[in-house]
Amino acid sequence: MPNREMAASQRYATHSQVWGAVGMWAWILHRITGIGLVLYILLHTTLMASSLIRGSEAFNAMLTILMTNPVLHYMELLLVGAVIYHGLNGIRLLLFDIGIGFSRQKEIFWSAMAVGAAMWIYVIMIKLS
Amino acid sequence: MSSREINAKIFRYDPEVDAEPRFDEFKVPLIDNMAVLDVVMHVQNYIDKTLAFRCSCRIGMCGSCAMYINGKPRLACRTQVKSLGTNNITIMPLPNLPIIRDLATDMEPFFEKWKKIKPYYVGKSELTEPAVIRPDSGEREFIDQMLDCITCGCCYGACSMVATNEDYIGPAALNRAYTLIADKRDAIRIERINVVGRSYGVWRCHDQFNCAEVCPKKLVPTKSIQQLKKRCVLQKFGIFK
Repeated sequence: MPNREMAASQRYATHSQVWGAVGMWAWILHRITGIGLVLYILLHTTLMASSLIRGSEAFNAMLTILMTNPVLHYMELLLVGAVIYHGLNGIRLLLFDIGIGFSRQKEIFWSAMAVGAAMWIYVIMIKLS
Repeated sequence: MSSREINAKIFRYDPEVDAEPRFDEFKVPLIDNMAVLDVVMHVQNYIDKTLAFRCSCRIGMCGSCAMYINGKPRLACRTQVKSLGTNNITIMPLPNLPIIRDLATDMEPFFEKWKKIKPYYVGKSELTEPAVIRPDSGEREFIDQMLDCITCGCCYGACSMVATNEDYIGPAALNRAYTLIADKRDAIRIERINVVGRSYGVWRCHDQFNCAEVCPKKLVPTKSIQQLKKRCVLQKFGIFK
């Protein structure tokens, strides 16, 4: 059988995945929060630096815009959530890198998420009070 | 599970005839202790003789009958219908591999990558006596466990990193590479490290554990891959020789 050509013509992507795998979702969310945080830091440093260069008044004006906008005010909660998730899952991944927890990866994930949820709820309560 | 009948929805596709795949539905009588392999065998024996699938040993050691059953790659012979918790079974071919016909996939890409890591033991020529490895040294413990791989391809089909990059060596071959590289008698460890320590090798693994999730032998290839990553780094620093 001319295997190589045969294989190419017979490739049909069934797009079947293991959708129930916790580790895969952990990775997807890790990637999304990671990219989000990088974009945030770029935006943050650009805004801060560009207004600082233009002097104290420009800086204060920029801060006033940022701090008084109600949408941005509550989006900070998303930022805190992303930092908490990315940080805690990052610790989980570091554990694997030093060879710990392979047989307990799901338990480690859910424990990290329980800690993360508690931290996030605490932050939300402070923000809303 | 009160009904005594199974509704089997089976993926059908003949690349030489069909433009698109389709699903055929079959009613199969439920027998106690029935495995999914018995379901497809019943369909082939009594309902539709043209159904294609691969199987051999029926006891989970040959690794031929891996299929995508109700959302997960599993060995059809080792998957009890009862364990699925439903009488509706959807059976598809193993993902990430070309389809020969229906449920039979072409394992060639899988074994091409298996060959890449030189999956056989190459002894050091200077060793004239058998190596002495004390049973209590623990040296073989993890290696021996990982040698249980039956190359069924379930991990390869489950890995989303294989799905998104055809060149990725995949969990099974990397796991095999680990069992050889970790063997201190192996003469070509560095050659193997050079094959696996690439972006399409160990560094493509992102610790998603899909492989461990589906392995019918309960292996954790992610752990072997981590051990390989460690050795790749140590080798770059000249510590692992």
